[in-house]
Amino acid sequence: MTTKHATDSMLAIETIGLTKHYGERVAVDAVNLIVPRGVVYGLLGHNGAGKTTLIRMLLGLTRCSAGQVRLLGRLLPEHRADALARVGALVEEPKFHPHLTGRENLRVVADVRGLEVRARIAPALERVGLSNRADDRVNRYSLGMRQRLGVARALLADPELLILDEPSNRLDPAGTVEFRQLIRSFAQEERTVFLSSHQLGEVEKVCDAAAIIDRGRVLEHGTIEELARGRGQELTIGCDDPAAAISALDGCVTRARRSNGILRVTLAGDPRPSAAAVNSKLVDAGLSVWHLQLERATLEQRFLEITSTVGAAT
Amino acid sequence: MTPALAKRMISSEILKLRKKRSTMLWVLFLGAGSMVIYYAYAALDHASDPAHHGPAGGTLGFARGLQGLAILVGPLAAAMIGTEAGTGDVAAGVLRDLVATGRSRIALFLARIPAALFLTLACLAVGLTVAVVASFALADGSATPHLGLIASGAGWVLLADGIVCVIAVGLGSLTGSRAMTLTALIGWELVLSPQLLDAASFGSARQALLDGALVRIEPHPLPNGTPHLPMSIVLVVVAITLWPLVLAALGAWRTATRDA
Repeated sequence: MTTKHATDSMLAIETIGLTKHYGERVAVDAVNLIVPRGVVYGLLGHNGAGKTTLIRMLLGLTRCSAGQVRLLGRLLPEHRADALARVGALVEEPKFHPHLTGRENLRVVADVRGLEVRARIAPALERVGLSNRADDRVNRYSLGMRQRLGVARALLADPELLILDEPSNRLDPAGTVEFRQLIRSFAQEERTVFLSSHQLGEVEKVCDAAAIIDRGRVLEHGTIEELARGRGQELTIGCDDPAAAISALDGCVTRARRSNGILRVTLAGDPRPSAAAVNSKLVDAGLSVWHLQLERATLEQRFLEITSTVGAAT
Repeated sequence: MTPALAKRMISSEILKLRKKRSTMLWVLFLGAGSMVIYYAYAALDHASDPAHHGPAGGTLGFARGLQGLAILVGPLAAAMIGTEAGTGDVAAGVLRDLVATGRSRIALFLARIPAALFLTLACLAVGLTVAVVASFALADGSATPHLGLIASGAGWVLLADGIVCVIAVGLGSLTGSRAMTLTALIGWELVLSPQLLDAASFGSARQALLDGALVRIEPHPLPNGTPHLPMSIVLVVVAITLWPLVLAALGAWRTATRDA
């Protein structure tokens, strides 16, 4: 989903060499990120990988040490006000004035955003299912309710871009499912959602594309399918002579392993051969094939593979 | 930013402050309750021993009430509201959500000042009303304050406490800590500043003190009140302008530069 062909007007977020130092420590290291409009884009990383710092820089909550940020085609910090006017955000744990009601807390932000924004308070509360508790003080809200109020606050911008930092962290399983549906509904309205998470399953279920970040660096990015598949598609083969099969497949696989009589190969080449083509090659070589299956890698496997490679290298 | 939007932002700041019930109750107690207690106590004293205790009201009683509101309880009330206004967003953790709207951080800071001033002056207006009513009702035949004194006294109280309020907003925004700001302001107002004013060894350096400037323009000095420093009006104006201006500038700078 990250593409070199995207033009500025198509981009929700673009960062070039975005860097943040805290003294000697590099929290975000020369991140180049391109998020097209209208997608749900995940920023996947372990705790402490730099996700929140990156988001804080996007929103101007903390200064960048180096690099450039464009939100909705507008350069920050020069056009910060214009850019953020159509950006809704939920950063870390949602915080509110505890002595005010949910509705009053939204009013405080609405009045900062603009004169017409108060009219969006009631629909935003309705959207997140808090209308009947809107006049309760926030110090009586559960964590899940605060999370939903945080989303309502983000919706006050009528956002083209929603930036959500670990949005389902504090939700119970039912709340998580509900939240996932809410995020998908934003995408259906052609809003861009940029969410950070360390929950791989969550990103896999809700995002169209993602970037994997570790130690402040973006290691890989692409659609969820591309990320999960990595650079090669794996195929398991059951045949009467695995050694002969490896010879027969020479040139169209990059890696082959044998385990309990089953051969696991990583397909390579451009174009990548299909399972049927592999089967033909094996049959042409006189082998008897009794099992052939494409392995669907999970994002979790791929994520661990990528981040452990970096961990081992550093 | 349009005036209408600025008005909205200020009204939101007022909402945040007035809904802070504990702070508002304290401020009302300091601004108005303390005046009621003072005049009731003075009236009882006068009733029990008129030879030694003059009337609670009258011009002198009014002047005592003014000094209490301008130098003692009023600044405490102003400091509480100003501190709450200056630190509230940071303490609640919502500054980042306000900054993330794209609104200028300076605008966010500036909205706090009129909101805090409005509530401070409203509470002190109640205290002033108590002082005016008591000065007539409890005069017991003594001279009552004339309209000019009432007007200049009210102006003096509102100016003195307004300045403290702005200083508190600035200092609160600078530190981001309620406890630190209130401790610093109360310590300064009640302990350090009076001590420094009394320390003759500091000489003309005392002219830089805000309280010295405020006492210098007191409309009806008390016979045994705080001694006046020999200050020119120009120096008074410089002192009462620079103190709030410098602290407000520091608060604005910190709001603009802090990690939200």
